[in-house]
Amino acid sequence: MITMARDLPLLWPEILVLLAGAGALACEMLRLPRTALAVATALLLAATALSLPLLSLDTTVFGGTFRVDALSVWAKLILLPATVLALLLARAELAGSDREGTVYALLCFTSFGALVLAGSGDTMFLVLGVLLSGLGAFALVAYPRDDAATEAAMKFFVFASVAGAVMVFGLSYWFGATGTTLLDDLATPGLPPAAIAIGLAGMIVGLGYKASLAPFHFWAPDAYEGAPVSVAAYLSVVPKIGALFALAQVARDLPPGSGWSGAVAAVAVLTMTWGYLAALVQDNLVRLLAYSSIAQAGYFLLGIVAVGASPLALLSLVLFGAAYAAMNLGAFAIIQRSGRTLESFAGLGRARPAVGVAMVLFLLSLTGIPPLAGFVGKLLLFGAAIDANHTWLAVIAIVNSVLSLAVYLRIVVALYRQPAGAPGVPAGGALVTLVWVAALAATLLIGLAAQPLLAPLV
Amino acid sequence: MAFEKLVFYILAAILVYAATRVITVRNPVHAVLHLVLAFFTCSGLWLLLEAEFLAITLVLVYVGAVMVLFLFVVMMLDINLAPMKEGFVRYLPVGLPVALLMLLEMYLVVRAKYFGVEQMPLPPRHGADYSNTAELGGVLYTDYVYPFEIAAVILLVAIVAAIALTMRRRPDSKYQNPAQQISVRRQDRVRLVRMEADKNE
Repeated sequence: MITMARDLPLLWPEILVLLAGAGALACEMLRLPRTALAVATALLLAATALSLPLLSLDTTVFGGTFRVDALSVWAKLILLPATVLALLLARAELAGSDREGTVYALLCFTSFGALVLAGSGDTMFLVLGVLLSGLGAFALVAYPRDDAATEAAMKFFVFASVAGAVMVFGLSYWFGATGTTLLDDLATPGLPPAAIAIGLAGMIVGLGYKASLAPFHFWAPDAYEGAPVSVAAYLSVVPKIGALFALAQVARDLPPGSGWSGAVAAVAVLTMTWGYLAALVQDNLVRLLAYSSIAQAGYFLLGIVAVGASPLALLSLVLFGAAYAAMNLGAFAIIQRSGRTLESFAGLGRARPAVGVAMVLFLLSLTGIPPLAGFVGKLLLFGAAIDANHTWLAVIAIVNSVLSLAVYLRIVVALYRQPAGAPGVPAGGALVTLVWVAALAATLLIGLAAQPLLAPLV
Repeated sequence: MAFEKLVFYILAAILVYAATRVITVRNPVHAVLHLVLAFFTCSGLWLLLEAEFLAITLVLVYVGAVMVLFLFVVMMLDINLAPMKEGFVRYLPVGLPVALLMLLEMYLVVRAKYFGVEQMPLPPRHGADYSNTAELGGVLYTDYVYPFEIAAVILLVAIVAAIALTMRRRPDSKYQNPAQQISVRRQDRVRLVRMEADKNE
């Protein structure tokens, strides 16, 4: 029997996120976009604070359908501050545009969808989370209403519809095999392996599209390119981490003998390699970072492969999630202030040394250079994969990290190149500066604070 | 019991007739009206199965809202169905195997030893004081309240997204601002100009 009095207080963070979206909408109705931003930011920060006491819990609510465990609570602690940073970026980019407050509301609702995904203990929540974090995202991509944005949103929408349908089809096999929608029941012995495999394939398509894993990533570069930079930054962090954590939640319940870890490992290899190879030839920085974010999603899969086989798996996922959110948002913030093309970065490092150093640090962190956050996260992911007897996967990931250096160094070289023409470096707004400073602080702090965690590895 | 069977057969006959007419009548408006009849009869069947809430919802949502919308669309579009009916013979080689396959599938499901009528015992009858709606609500608002609310949020987000994309201020559209209109003063509209009278004549 379900006791509301116990379950509802555990959902306070989600309720506050919902209120943040509703509050922003109400302010938009009164044509008060600044108040909408303030309300959404305050409520999201309050939700983050209310998640802290839940950290010690490992329980479920509503009959096991939704999990309040370390992964789900850490998702809130990572994604809600990331949403706040994205809100500030959106304010800097879209201030004064029509229906500005709606953007804040949609960002909050989409984050709610990502949180639903990250805590799902039931296939219903997987489907609802994918839908909820998708619907708002289409509108955010199409927001500028020019041809590029509309085309990007169209591609995104069509891809999402097909991937979502395949996912629901696959999940229906799980329902047929277990008789319930609960993920817990997948661990029941004696289920037909074919049904589990078809369900898993459908789920990898659905969540793989959301997390832009290869070969379901084709929408990502186009959608990011057409969307406002702040929306691209948001899409590359919040829904993606939500979907990857959902995959980890599912992996916890899959029977070990069903070969799921092999399938996920294959997707990981494809995603990392494809992402970085495609990123090598991009001149548009938003596309380059889009492919880089695809490759980074492949690194997350190293942790997911190790779920259930290594105690490091959940720790590495959480740590790399936080690191990825910080460094990726920071890199996108600097693109938003300086321009979308490689040429617009020429000489930026000489004209604005602080911005240049920050961008270099974000890129080195994305590569995984110590002592930055990305290094700690990747090292733990490699450790988890080796722990789970997937040493070959870790080796491929390390080779890809070397490849990624070539991708990111192209931007670094451009930063310190002599500009061809007059140094037309635009000044960044205060909000964008605030975002990249915060992201930089997080990148450095996570990297330094997590050093003790590495002790058992070295 | 016998009366219930009689009602079932009457409703079933009307349902089959209405469903057939939906795809055979020439006039699209008549087709929609037959579809309304089919839904209505279907909800009668559900009432016989003690699914009162679903029966009422079918009438309210489908007959009341969706079909009326359909009717509007059909009346507005003014489709000429005659060309759509051509090619019946041409599509027969594809259509017939599909139809036969569907028939086979139905046979397999209904006749197999796992799904046959004798494998599905009738659920126990409920008393007159049993409320289908209350039972559904009891589950929907306790065990499933969280997914239910998320589904509601999804609908809200869909509306918000659609409005955010379509309803914008357009610089080229001409519209009246009533507040400005009623607060207008004489000085804004009429300018009195003192003219010298023409004295030449």
